[in-house]
Amino acid sequence: MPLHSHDPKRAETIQELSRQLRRFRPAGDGVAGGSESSWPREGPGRRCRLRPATRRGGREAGVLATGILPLDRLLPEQGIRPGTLVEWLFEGEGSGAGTLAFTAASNLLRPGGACVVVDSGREFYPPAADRLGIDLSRTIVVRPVCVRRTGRRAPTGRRGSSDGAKREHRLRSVAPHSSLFSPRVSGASDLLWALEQSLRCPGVAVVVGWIDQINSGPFRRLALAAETGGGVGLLLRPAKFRTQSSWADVRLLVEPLPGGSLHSKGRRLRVELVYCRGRMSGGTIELEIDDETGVVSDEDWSGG
Amino acid sequence: MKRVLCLTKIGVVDEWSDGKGATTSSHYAITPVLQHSNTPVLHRLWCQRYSPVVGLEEFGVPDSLLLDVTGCAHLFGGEGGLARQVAADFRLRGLSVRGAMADTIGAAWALAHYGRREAGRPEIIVVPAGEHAEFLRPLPVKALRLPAGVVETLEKLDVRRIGQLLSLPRDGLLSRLGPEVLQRLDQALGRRAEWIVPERPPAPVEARWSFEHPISHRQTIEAVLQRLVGRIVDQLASRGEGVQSLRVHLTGPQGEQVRFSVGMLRPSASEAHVGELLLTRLGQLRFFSPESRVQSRERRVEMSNDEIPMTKSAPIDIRPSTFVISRLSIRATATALLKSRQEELFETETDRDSRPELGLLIDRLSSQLGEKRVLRPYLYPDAQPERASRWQPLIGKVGRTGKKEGEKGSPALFRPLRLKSEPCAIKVTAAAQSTGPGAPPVRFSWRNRDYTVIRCWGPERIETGWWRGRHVRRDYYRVETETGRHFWLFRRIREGDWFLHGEFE
Repeated sequence: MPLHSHDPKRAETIQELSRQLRRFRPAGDGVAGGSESSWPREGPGRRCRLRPATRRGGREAGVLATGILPLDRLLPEQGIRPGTLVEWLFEGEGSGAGTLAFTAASNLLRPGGACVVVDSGREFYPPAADRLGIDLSRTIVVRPVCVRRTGRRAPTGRRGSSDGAKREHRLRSVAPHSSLFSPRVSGASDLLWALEQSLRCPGVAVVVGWIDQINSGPFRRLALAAETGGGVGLLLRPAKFRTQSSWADVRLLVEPLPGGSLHSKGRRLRVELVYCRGRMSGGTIELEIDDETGVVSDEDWSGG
Repeated sequence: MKRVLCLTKIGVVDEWSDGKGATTSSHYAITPVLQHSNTPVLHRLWCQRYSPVVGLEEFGVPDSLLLDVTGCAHLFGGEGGLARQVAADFRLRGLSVRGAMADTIGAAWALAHYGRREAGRPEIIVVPAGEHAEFLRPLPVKALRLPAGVVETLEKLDVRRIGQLLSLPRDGLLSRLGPEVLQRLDQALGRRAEWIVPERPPAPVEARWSFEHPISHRQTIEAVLQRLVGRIVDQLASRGEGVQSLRVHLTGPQGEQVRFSVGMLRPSASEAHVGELLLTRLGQLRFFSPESRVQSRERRVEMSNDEIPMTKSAPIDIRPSTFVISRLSIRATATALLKSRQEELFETETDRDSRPELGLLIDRLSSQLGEKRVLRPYLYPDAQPERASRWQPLIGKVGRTGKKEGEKGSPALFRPLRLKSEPCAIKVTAAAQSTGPGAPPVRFSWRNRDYTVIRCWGPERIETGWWRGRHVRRDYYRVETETGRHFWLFRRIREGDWFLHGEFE
């Protein structure tokens, strides 16, 4: 975007310069021996990129490790690039996808920045995230209004205050924060808006959120927001949306596997690289998460 | 006769227990409040309810308030009543205080700082009118607010009490120690005038706009609001302050009012940012006018025959454009000093945590979704899983969150990432063969689906204390189903029924 000559404010000028300079970032195209710097030969629609002079430990400069070694080996760039979306497709409740996502988030937070968890379901449990390495002092939890339909009749009594029998309710709407303000019937727009705003913020390193049905337009906005902010978006989504189009740069399918090692208390997961932008997809790994130590190890790795 | 009340040793009392359930021993720490001249602190101390003239002492580092209570005591039932009321008000708000009331500033200051207090005596000493000289005699010379060097010289001369100083010839004091000793003596005894420099409350920062005719045009209202925000920001810019919370009043032609507030994480001097937050809140308003209330009554009568009426208080939603406004006003309810920040062309990674954009994001999220929906989580040492974490809004009233120490001793991953806000009742169709009543589940059904448990960890017994009233006694199990999913179930020990509490997602 050209810098307008009539821009009056110095602060805005500096910000615009910084933003434009940030666009020049190292990028690899998978070609070996990338020691030369060269200007891209692409058409005018593509961004200008400089090829990195060196590679460090097999991972390109700027790519962040997830901290899960088998997962890093599965990813073509050996990690996750800032400014991208990663979609974690999970098969039902209790699948383990969230555990992997938050473990990766704890490593993505190490360079700095805040972690934003968009929890419209109001079920995010901080003690578990703390044990997965998430720094709660740098965590912001956003709870957009949620209307969802679940099982049977409405509960009675205070939430979580007694040990009495509670039943799932048919329809539960979170009350508006003031009777003066318009109550929101649908929280989907608030959820996507909160995700977009959080991804767009340069001070946010990781955004984690649970999403459901999302159209192509809003999904593209999330991808652009991640690119603008420079953080990483980890979106947890039911696997039934696997066949729908996605603007995520990486799509991983997490399936729980029954039974662990004979003497371990861990759980097993299968992770498949469904899609990776600009790279060959495919490849499956089977992981085992040790409950005692939290270490994730791979049982079997087959490249795609 | 002039009467002065000096209040000192004002501090916040922090009390905590030793963590053994009911408080068996308490610890106190007093954090001084008046470390520097801070007008907002003064007014938060509500001292102008006792006297219209309230000031800070001007000796050394100010740690005392001076109140001119001449002619005010009868409003509190006398000077004793005033002293008791002051002490009680401070105690009610968790503040400690010591003080003295006398005829002069010097005497009140000296007795507040150095007057002897015995156990059971009130925190504020009241010296009868005209008797301050006798009360001053036994006090140390440093109670006269003398410089340290002069006090040291007097102590070398073995002059340690004010009474000794009074018996010395004045000419000698002047020639040996300078004029300050005599000045302070005369001020304490009332022979020389001394005044309290009163602190004035800052003028409220507000901006108003009145329309010649009531309007309902949304864009015009927004433009006027933006202009008023600009005036507020300009008023504060001259002080080097930014606005941290605003209150907006929209008044209709018949006096009906709509009010809303906007808060920010950090003080802001950006007209664009504050305006954006205001307009976001404005867009969420439901406007009511007398016409709409008349319409709603009429409609309820029509609906009673054929339709199920809405609840009594349910209004008809009127489009904002039909609400007419005759006056707009914005007031800055909280301001703070702005911090300067060096602009960097290239940010470093360590700068990311302190970026101002994060504050703007929090402001935007809170304004759009509500301050209670943008939260910071805290761990809390409670056995009951629902209470093991607390939430605090990032903007707005900050309540107590309790200790920040979390649970200890639990295995690393034995807490689910998603915890149901209310445990879901499940039906256990088969339990393991066990001699005890707490057999782990083998098959259960939830949400019309059946699950078979192939592995199980537990039980983990969680009980809360009897002093809580409704205490819980649960045996928790982590189960793995035949499809590899992990859930957190519990059985209520007394009732024997089962619930699903969380998912190890």
